[in-house]
Amino acid sequence: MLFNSLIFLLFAGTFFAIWPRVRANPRARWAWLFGASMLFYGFWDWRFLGLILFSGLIDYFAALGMASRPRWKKALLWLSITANIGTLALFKYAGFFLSAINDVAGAFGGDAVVPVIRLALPVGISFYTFQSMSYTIDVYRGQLKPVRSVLHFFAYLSMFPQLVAGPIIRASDLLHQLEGYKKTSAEDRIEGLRLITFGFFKKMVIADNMAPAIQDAFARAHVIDSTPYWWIIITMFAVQVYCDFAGYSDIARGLARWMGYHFKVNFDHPFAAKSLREFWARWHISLTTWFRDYVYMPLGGPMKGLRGHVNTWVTMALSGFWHGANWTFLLWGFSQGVLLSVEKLLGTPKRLIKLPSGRWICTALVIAQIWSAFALFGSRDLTQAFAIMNSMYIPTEWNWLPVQRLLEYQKQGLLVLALFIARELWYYLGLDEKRVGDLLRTPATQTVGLACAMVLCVYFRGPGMAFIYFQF
Amino acid sequence: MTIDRTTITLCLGFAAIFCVGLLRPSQPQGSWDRSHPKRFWAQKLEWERQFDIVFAGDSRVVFGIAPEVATETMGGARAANFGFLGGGYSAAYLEALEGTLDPASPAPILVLGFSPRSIVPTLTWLNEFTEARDMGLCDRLTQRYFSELLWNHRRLDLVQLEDWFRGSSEFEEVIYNFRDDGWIETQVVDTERLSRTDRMNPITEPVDPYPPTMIEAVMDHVERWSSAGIRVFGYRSPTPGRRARNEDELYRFDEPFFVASFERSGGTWLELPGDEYTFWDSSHMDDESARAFTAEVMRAMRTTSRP
Repeated sequence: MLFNSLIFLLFAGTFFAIWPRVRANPRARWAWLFGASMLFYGFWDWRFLGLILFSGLIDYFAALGMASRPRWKKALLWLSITANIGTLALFKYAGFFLSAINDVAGAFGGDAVVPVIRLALPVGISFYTFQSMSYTIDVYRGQLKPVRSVLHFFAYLSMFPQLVAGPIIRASDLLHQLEGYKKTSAEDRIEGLRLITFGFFKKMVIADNMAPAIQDAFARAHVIDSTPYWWIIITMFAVQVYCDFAGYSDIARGLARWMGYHFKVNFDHPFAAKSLREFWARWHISLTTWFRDYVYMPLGGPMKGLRGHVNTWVTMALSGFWHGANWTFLLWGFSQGVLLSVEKLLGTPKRLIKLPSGRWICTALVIAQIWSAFALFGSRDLTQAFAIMNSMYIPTEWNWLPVQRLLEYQKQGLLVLALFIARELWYYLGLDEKRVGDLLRTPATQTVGLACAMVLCVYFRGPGMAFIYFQF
Repeated sequence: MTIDRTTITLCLGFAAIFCVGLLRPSQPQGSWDRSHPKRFWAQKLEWERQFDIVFAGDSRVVFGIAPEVATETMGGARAANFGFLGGGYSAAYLEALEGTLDPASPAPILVLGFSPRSIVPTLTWLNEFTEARDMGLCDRLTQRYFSELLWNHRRLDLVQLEDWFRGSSEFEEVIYNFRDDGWIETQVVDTERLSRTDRMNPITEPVDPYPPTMIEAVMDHVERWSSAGIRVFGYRSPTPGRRARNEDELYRFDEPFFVASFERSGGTWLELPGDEYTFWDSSHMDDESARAFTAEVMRAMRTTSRP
């Protein structure tokens, strides 16, 4: 069930109509949340419900076992990790690895050695397996007590606002919230509405209106050779991915807020970052902190010398690979790791920031690096990605014809891009903090602003698209 | 008692949505959106094993083939138009097409209309077939029960907004009639306005060349169908001469090679006149021309020597 669908509005209406009647009783609360979440997920493919239950039950019993049988702790942790990674490997990565084996065989002149299987990817598998793993790892580390009630555990694991596309909510952040309930205040309700409305606005008005131009650009077998065209398209793509995913995260946070729960911020104006390190601290925060705590730190974290850099590269490469079974994602993550190392070694942001307009130079440098990452992120293969980057960074032809066509046929997409850039500049210039920002935060202006945003979501929405992060 | 701010905001938002819905100009009967085209495409995919003759292809077939003419010509044969906008001959489409024929039909026939665009994968996201096929349970339910509500809150684009502010109504130059047999019958209402509007984006950029696998897939299916006793006909959808030449160049369409491959695979190619018809844009026929052209296709099928 998509957030941006009429069925979801009916579903959410029913859910929140009943929620106040069940939330005071823990079992009724968990059962209602779990049941509604299963219905929400089952709308895509009810067969994959079994997978969530399978993965969840293993982790639930593994955690209980860790508490009751400390001697088996390590074995149970490995059982949990193997089951989760194994499920991911089977559904998400099997096709990729089998193809890679055949490619290697082909490189040595042999025929395909293994048949390639490609299974349908269950929606949200990468998100809920990571959530589930965070639970068993935290229990293993002694940072969390295992929950006794299976309903309590599944209410956490399957909670519908974040089930299919995050943010990845740690067990340590949500399980204790689910133990009790908090009656929502007027502040919770209006903040929830604000998050939901602007989440929909980001997704339906900004991301979806830019989607046609972007899909057209990436769908072509041959990359259009035009430097200005690709800078515009990749800018649009970066904004589309951001608004698509940040919009989803905001809607999830708003829905949770209406239930009386708090999810942490997942995106914090990443394009205003002054260094690559800062960018990754502001982008998909729930995933980057997950990798920091469960991969980077166990590897040794920020060690001195080459080892510290290798830890960064491995973590970033795995983070890229988490997004999809494709060389483009792997290289995307790895290249960001290398660029982070370069930034650390050269100390560029610290030096450049001292120059006149240093902040702008730093941000421009981050964008130049991040845009190449988005070229990799959006391309179907490395050949296309390199051709796009070649066109962007090594201008051979200032071909303006594709840009003219964009201006002619994608006015709506370009208009929302301009709107987004204006909003981010507003933030970047610190106008949020100034008096003019205060004026926009009065209750009356907020109410009118939200009503206007609702109208725009209905009548100025782009062609309906699924959320990009569903595929991960 | 104070009213909650969230309630006030929601009420204001819904009232504003309702007002904008009232204020926007109503669309005339027969306009594109009013006929709920999404439901129209989804219905085509529900056709299973029920026709004697099925016409396939892209938008030029959707608008240009009137199955009722085939039914009259063939003495009551069950005929359907299985064309889709932006439709390309993907393997999935070819499989779905085969499924529409009644296996018990005494003389099953498939008629494939080709245009250079229909065998190029560019812009596949526009393909109504893919969209209808991939429609999930939610979308199906929404289309079935809430299509009227959705229509009332359909999206506006900048061109429509511009029209609105200028006081002109939307889509009034052509009336669309979505027929149960899959044909979209079109009547031109405002010829003057139509002549001022370029409804088709001109194709000025180099486009992707044909992937050989796509043509091979078409020919494989033609061969399989022919050997299974299905008569398969192909033709090039009529297009005004200048546009046809433009497309040949842009898409690098090698028609003689394509026709030879088609006939080698067991299909029968129909040579049909190209630009004697009335097109309401650069490639789509009005209702009268569609009827005349379908009659021409049927005549050509009868006169071909190949069984």
